[in-house]
Amino acid sequence: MKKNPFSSAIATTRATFRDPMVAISAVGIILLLFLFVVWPLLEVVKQSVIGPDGTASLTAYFKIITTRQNYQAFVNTMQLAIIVSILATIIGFLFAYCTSHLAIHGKKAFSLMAMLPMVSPPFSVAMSIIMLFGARGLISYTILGMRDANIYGFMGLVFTQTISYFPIAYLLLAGMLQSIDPSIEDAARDLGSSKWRTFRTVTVPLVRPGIANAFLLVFIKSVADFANPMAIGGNYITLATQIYLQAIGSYDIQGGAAVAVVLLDIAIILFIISKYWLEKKSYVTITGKATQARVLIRDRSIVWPVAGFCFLVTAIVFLIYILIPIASFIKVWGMNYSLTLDHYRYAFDVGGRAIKDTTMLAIIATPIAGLLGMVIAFLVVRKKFIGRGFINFSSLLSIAVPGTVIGIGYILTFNTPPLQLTGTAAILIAAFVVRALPIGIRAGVSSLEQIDPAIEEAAADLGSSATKVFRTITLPLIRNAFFGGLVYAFIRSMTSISAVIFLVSANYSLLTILTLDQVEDSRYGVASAFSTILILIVYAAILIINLMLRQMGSKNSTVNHP
Amino acid sequence: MVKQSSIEIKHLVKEYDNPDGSGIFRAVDDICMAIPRGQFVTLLGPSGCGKTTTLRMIAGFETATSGDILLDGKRINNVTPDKRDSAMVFQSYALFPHYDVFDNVAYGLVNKNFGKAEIKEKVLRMLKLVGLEGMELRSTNQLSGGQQQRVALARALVMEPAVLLFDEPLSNLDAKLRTYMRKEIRKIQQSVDITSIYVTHDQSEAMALSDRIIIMNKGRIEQEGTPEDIYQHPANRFVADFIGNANFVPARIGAVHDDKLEITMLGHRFTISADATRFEPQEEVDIVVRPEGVDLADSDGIPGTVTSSTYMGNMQEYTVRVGDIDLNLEAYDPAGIKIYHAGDAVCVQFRPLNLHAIKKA
Repeated sequence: MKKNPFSSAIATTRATFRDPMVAISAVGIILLLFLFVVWPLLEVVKQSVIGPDGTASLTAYFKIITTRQNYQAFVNTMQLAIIVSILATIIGFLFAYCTSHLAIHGKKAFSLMAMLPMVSPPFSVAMSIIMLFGARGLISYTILGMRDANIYGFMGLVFTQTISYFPIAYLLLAGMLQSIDPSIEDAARDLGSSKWRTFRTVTVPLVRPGIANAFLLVFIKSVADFANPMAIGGNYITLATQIYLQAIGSYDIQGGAAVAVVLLDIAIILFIISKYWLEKKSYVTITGKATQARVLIRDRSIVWPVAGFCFLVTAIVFLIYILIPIASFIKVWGMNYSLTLDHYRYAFDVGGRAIKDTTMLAIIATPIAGLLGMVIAFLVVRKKFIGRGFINFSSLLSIAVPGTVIGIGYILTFNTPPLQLTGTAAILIAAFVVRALPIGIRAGVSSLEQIDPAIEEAAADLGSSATKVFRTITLPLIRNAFFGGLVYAFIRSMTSISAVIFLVSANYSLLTILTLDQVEDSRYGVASAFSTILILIVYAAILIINLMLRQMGSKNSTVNHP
Repeated sequence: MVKQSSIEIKHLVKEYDNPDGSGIFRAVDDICMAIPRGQFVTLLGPSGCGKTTTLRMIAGFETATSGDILLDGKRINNVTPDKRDSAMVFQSYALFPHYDVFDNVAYGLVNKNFGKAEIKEKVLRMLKLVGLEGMELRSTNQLSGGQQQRVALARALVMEPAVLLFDEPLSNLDAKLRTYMRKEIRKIQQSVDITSIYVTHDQSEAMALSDRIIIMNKGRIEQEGTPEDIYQHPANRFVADFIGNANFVPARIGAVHDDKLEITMLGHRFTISADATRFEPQEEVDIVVRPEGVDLADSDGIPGTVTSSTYMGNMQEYTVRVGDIDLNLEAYDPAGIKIYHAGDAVCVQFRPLNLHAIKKA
């Protein structure tokens, strides 16, 4: 008798679902992902192919090609993304090479710097750059005395995005460069290659897939970026801002959806290339066998220019981020540099509710995203059932989908019954969770993959149900990933703007959106005060989460006998 | 085809800063050695003994803290690896994963500015020598471990280096293949007659391959000599223990003659050969007794009791208690001889030729 692959899949699923909790959580997660990721995206696609009269039509797409504004937004987005990706990849590579191959001190500054964009509120970089180089900029106006310096537009965006996104390229490439077996480079030198030829023929080719991947990741980030084009883009409209302007500014949801589909397509194509093509091409394999440690380069003619450049960039980045809290105490930036607390007074006056709402919503979203991430990671890595592929794909999909697309999708989906959620806290929380989920899942998956499944099997064998195994064995073992996921989810929720800007209502007010209002009015003092408050809340949360982690005991205490 | 070169190392020292900043650590501590042309020398020792560091200093990857490395009498300390006339076979093979077999082997020749035709001819000849004919277009990850090993060897040999350096090249292979490859390496090395330095912690590899073995421990040289020398006349307890298995039986020296010692061991007198200048009368020493250097019999000899007896196929392994000493012994080809069992009384017969005196540790 021939085996039917479908029936064997059913048999596997049935075996997995013998434990009712596994079945319930798997089905529940599939449902949630469908509701809050897949359905809204389908709505966007659907909306873009329905004409004003309700019949199928491609009018919206024709509009993109024929409307000068939309076409220009497309060209702008691509042009910006290409330039930024090239610059960010080059800078990221230099930093990575510095960390992995050069004998220098102070590498910790690099990793600290690479963390900054992740924990900072949106607009930070854009605001700093405006405050440094804008019409009333500290450098352009106060120091150099330039009249009408204009940083808004393409140049400002290139600068802002490059500074914001090169750390992504850096972290990715640093990992790859470090995992090259140093013997391979030694072998090239041993066979008579100069340092330069070794670099050209061995080091670079070995990380070429990583370079391409870094380029793509930055590209995706740049294309999806909403906050920076809003803050410093000026007349330089990108697809992400065009969706917002169209849907919210001109009340043309359908037109906005059509632009959103274009953006979605670009993002998904890039994501698929990165995920399924490039990740398979990697030469760098971890053999797990400790070989010789790399002999770091001390040659001054290499170290000085490369490290010099990296430290200069690092200093600029730190300066850019430190400017925000400073500016929050300055009376009128560019005009009157005396100190004041007015901005904070005003911020608490106007934004008191926003501070409370944002924090509360983030506090609700954080454990949901954190726990869901770990459960999904557990199901995807450890259990086999029909729908596992769907869970894996749709949760990863939400990495690639730009926030603006999610935002417009939520409006389209949840504005009307059957599931009318607009204006509720639930929709904001859902948006927070969906945006924060993928990184948590990834962290969970990679730490689960390092844990021998036999440990969990042993617990089951000793009489634990699947739920108990997850609670008493799996979760404690992936505790670090779990708490990392919590921290990330909280930061991500507090700083979220691109999706939620479509969803705010009179009922709830968010800090980032108030900040944007201030930025658009060029009131950088108040905007900086908002951002500083946000940073303080985030750090307080990180502190509390770390305390909780310590409460649960250090890594060893689970193993040691009391 | 090969230029033969000699290597000399004088008072070589390599120091590292301790990672915690608490002073320095001497990985290689004032070693000297001379390797004549065409010889195959193995640096043997436990991990952390400084053997790989020494090899990497010869290749030029590490710089010596002090001392000299001489190639054919010329000091090469300050020559960068790419300009040194040595070629290394790496522990991880270090094949270039983005090149095929041909390009891997041709890589170094391109640096030497050979013409295309010449490179092709050399590469193909070398692949034939290592038994990889017809595989030149394979990608390296399509090769088995043994084949990758051959590519690594070919890539080094094709450079026609003055010295060939091996850094534990067989440690990633399984036991059978390891035995096979070490014969291959010895065969190829002898056919091209190239000066070679081989680093390993595997004593049987060292025995099988080397003209001479240098035993290292804690950054210093413990002993150097032919494989026979080192096995039969270990200089000290560390060497005796590291090479093969050994029992150490305490003894006292009676009279000392030119090349003979009279000793008392386990209450019996023996006369053994030794370098008499190293010992004095009445000195307490240890006698190295190899497990296979002792016979068991029903009578004649020093009486003892068998405490364990294990059948291993090619031999019978015993532990025999004599006085207050447990001797680990091996009787080869147990099919043809009498087998003793635990609890049996037995007589131990030492053969004076197999007794070797070392200083007390």
